[in-house]
Amino acid sequence: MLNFILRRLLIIVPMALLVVTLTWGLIRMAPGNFYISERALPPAVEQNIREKYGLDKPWYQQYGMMMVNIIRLDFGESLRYTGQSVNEIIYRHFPYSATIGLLAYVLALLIGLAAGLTAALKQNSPFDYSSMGFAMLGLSVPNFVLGPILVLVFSLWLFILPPARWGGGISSLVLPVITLAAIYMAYIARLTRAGMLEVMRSDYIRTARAKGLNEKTVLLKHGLRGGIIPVVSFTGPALASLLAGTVVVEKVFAIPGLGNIFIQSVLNRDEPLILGIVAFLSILIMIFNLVVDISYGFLDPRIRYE
Amino acid sequence: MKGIRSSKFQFGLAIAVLASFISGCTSSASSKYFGQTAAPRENVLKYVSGSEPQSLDPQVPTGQPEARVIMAFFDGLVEYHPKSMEAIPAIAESWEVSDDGTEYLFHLRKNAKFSNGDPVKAGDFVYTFRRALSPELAAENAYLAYYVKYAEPYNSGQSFVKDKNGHFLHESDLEPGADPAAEAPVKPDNFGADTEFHRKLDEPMRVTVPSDEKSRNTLLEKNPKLKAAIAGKELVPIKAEDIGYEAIDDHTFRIKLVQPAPYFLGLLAHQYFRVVHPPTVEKFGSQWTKPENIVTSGAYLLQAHRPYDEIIAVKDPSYWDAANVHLDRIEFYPLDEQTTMLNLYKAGRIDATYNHTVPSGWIESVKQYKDEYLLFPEASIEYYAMNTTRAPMNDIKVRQAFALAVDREALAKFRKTVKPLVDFTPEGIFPRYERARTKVYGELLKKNNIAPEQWKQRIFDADRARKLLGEAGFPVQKQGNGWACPTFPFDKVNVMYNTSESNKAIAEFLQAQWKQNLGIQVPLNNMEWKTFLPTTKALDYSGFARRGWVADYMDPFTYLALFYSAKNDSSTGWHDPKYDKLLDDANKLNDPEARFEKLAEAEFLVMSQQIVIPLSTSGTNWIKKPYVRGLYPNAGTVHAWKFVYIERDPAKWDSNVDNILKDEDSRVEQQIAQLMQSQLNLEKSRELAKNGNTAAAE
Amino acid sequence: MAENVETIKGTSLGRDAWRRLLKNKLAVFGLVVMVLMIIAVTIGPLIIRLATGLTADYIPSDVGNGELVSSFPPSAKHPMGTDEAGRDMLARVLQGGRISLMVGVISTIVSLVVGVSYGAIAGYLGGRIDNIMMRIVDIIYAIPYILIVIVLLSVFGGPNTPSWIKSMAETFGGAGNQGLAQIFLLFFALGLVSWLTMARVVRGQILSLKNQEFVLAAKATGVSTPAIIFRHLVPNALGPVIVYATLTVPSVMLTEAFLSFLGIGVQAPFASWGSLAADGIKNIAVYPWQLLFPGITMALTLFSLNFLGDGLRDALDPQTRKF
Repeated sequence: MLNFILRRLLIIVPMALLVVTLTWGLIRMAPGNFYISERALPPAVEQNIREKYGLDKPWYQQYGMMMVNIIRLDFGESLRYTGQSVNEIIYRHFPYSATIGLLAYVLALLIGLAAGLTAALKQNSPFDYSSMGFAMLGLSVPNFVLGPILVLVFSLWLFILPPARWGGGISSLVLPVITLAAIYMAYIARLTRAGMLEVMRSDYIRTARAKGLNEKTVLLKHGLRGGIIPVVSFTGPALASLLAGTVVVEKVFAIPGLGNIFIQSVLNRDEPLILGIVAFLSILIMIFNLVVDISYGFLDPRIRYE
Repeated sequence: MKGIRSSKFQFGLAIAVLASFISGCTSSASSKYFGQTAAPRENVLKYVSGSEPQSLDPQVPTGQPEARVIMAFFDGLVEYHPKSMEAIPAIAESWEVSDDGTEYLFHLRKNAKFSNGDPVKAGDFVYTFRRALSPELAAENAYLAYYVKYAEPYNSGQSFVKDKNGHFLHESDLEPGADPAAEAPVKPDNFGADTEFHRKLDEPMRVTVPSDEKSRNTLLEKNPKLKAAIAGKELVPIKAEDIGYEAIDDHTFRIKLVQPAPYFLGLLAHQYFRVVHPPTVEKFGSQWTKPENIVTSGAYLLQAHRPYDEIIAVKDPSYWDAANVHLDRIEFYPLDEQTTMLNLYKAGRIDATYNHTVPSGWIESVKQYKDEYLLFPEASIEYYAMNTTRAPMNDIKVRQAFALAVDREALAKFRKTVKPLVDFTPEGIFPRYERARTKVYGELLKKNNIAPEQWKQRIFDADRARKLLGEAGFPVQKQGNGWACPTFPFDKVNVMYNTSESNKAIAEFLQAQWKQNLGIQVPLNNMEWKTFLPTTKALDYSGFARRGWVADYMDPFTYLALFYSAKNDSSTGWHDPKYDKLLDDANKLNDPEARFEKLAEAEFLVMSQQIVIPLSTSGTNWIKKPYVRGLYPNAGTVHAWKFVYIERDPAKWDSNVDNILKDEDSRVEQQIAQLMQSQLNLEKSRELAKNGNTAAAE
Repeated sequence: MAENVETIKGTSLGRDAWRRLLKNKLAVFGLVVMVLMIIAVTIGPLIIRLATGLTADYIPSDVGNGELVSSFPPSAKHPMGTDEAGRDMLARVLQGGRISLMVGVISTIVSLVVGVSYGAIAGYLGGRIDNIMMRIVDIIYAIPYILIVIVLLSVFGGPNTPSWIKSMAETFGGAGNQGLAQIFLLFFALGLVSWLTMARVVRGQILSLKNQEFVLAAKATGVSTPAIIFRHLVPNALGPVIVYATLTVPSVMLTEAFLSFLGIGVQAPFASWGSLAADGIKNIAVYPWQLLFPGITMALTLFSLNFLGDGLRDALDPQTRKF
């Protein structure tokens, strides 16, 4: 097991470098560059910019320089926000996204699991239908619609919560967290229900029942572990993308998170910033997926890693 | 069975809940003010400034969001008048312009200080202005200073040409019959102190050629005469010290222009010309604008900068005009989501927004709050450029047909905040120019045998549009209730526009207009900005490209310059030496009236060729709380923050004001008058001296 | 989607499943709504055009002084009201449905076909192959898909659009429309990323199933590996797969709306439910119908799809029994 974890941790670095390489290639294939603007620059000035950022060198040299810098964990300065280093930008904005993302995930997990479990146990009951209907509502209402509606009700109608911006303490977190959590809540509820229904039919549960264990023990001790595997599979990528920030919620609530900055960096062709965030996020995703894979083993003793 | 019932029930519930939300908010719209309105107890302004500034370095960014913020932190020689945007004294307490209009002499006030206590000297302006042009900084705005002598050749890395005897080659030497060996004639103009540098600048313009060998050779290939003239001579790269900026002493600053530019003074209030603290810039390099490093020259200090969140400006007590700075703190919020800022405004959490921020759906209801909603003409236009290098848009008749087939009145009605536009300079911004233009157009129409009615009908004339298209070889036929133009190459035209709600709405509207009036369905092509720019710049499109232009300074030239020179930025592929000459000639004229008439001739040339389809003059379209005073909807939405104040007495709030630009706020007017005093004094004494001279001569 | 699964399983097992599906009232409700919705978006725009002359992109600027180019509440002529340009919302919602359903269906098919087989193979084979396959998923997942879309659109978009995409766009959208061609490119971009999480979900299921007795039994009797994966393992993991597939539909629809918002999605004057809702939400306090109608249509569709998905899951489950 330890061996497995170590091997997976070691492979993360070359994988992140591969992701960075592919992203770099995509940036170079995309039209436009960071300095193009409505006004044409004099050719000499453009030449200066290209020299300053090494864009006049052959591509393999540029690629080499970039990789060397990245291996030294130096992503350089943002091309758009002059004077701000990429590391500084990530360090500054990640906590905003992480706070909201983590809170939203915890909320989604608590409510989603509870609703999904209850619905599975009382399959085809009114509770099942209503909670699943509610989950579906969470899925069908896009967050760019849900956010403004919540703002309308709680900020402009009831005047109890701020409509946007960070910095109002907990009260300014409530609406963005709920908006963000809604869709994940729905996912988790539905995946839990489906997973539980699946597991409840399997042989080992039948065996447990046959042993005369009481239904609650069967469910919570034996059923739940296998039943939440789909939720766990979903959690890896979901948590990573939640922590990375979600653009829509950040825009609607004017939160200075990483998600919006990442989109802007792509739209601005801000290469160092794009690569920095991609490297950071890919490591995050891979670590979460590793945790997911390890937890399979704990959840289901039949899953083994050699 | 049970299931179906419960799902129906939920559905009904969801709709009922939604409906009650909506009725809840629409019913509260009848109050006196738009949302929560209470003046803050402190002198604090919370202002939404647009997207996150690219940099707080005045010379670097080009956008308006940055300009609005930078103006709080940095002062220039002059400041924008809060209403008219004319130049009013700032660090320069007064100035003089030479008779030929090519030299400016600024007298700096002696009490101006940087935030660290250092005095602001003329040398700091020299440093700032040279830095702004340096190829290393590669400022996108550098073109704004190209009117200054040798600024453009320095910025674009060029060299002077020197012969063995140390004589520089001048442009006049290349004229027929000139003797290149002769000493260049210097005509000292006795404007300001006589210095060696000044005499050098007063020489005729020297010849400049690219320092880079490759581009130089391309140039020389095309110009054999120049090639012969520079053969065997030494090339001297132009240095920052050669540019026409001179600190005569600590408090006198002189600028030499290539040719007269009557709008130059107004341009100097632009953030690009605001003074920075040289030692700080040198010491911290690209890090100098961080709150812990920055040294400012304006009314406010940078207390905090949290990107994408807020920029906090606090009043600088040691600012030279601190007694007249009313706000103790300005909080700039870098947001660009319209709905978000309207929500913040309604909840009373912000006091004002930047321009174009009220979404079109909201305008009808926000308009009722007359003293909060500000819709005034803006020095900014929208138009569609056409690629004149590709068929079918290379045919003037096709271009005219498409231009005539757009009902601009209907477009303006649909967009709600704009005014229809048929010429290239915005309507209602330059009244003196418009008068001159009416006169010139009248003469030119007669000369070109164009009926004045037909010219007036440019705003919308579908019949003529169809006729013109027919003449171009694409006959339009009646088909049912509409029209059809089967021979038109549908697959060859496209409307390219960059992503924005309003660009999309306009593109859809024009598409519908062309379909209804010409029977031609032009596909729309939406692109993100950085894809849109290279595509349109390289003329890699057929048909139309959406463009807009915001004035850099208050003069029609800022618009007309867009078509100037062979490598212009109009994205149309059009260029005409006759046009360039008209603009050059215009700027050589010192009489504003005559100059405007020449400019109008140039505008007529572009419009009669229908290189672009002008669509509209934009409107300011923003909101402010009634207790915010001194914040005016000027044509550029740039605000001199020291005039803004918070009025706590509701009785003194704006109430049913028809035109806030004409409304006199005694506090602001006095403040401006006080600032203008030094300049008026100087003008008066010059007047007296002049009269004295004439009197003596008589 | 429903029909596809149906036709593939045209055996007696399928007929059995069909009977079970028909017994599930909610699933029948979902099926009926979905069928009606597909019919509506397919022929609806045509009927509206024949009946009233309105199309999704018709702006009534040629009537009077252009006073019709404005938002009007629902009326007899415009049952869903009009948008800000005076266009008929009903026509727009139906036309938007074409695009949204297409986005949903194509991405779901990709996610089912690619994601399920990929995840199942990786999970069953395990070891080094599993490791490599899942690392590839991780890598694709980590590359920003906006960048992929931007590059895809610039390399294959505009004048470079492959002709087969153009012809596909013409088949679905009528008269040669470059705008629609971009939408099809978008479908591929969305399909490219939509199968990744599905692969992870399926692999997780297979890992826990592959050591069960029925698999061991199949192995012992000499059933081939592909047969074990697709005939024994996949059907047993079908529950989460179908649920996840129904979850994919809303999420790709929203992704499409987000891309449209960035300017790299559906081209105007075409709309999708997502982009209609995004436009409508801005005016919710002034012209609520501009959000309500596209929103309700979308929600109704997703609800039905979901009920149908649940019903299918129950009907197709080899071990279905009541408890």
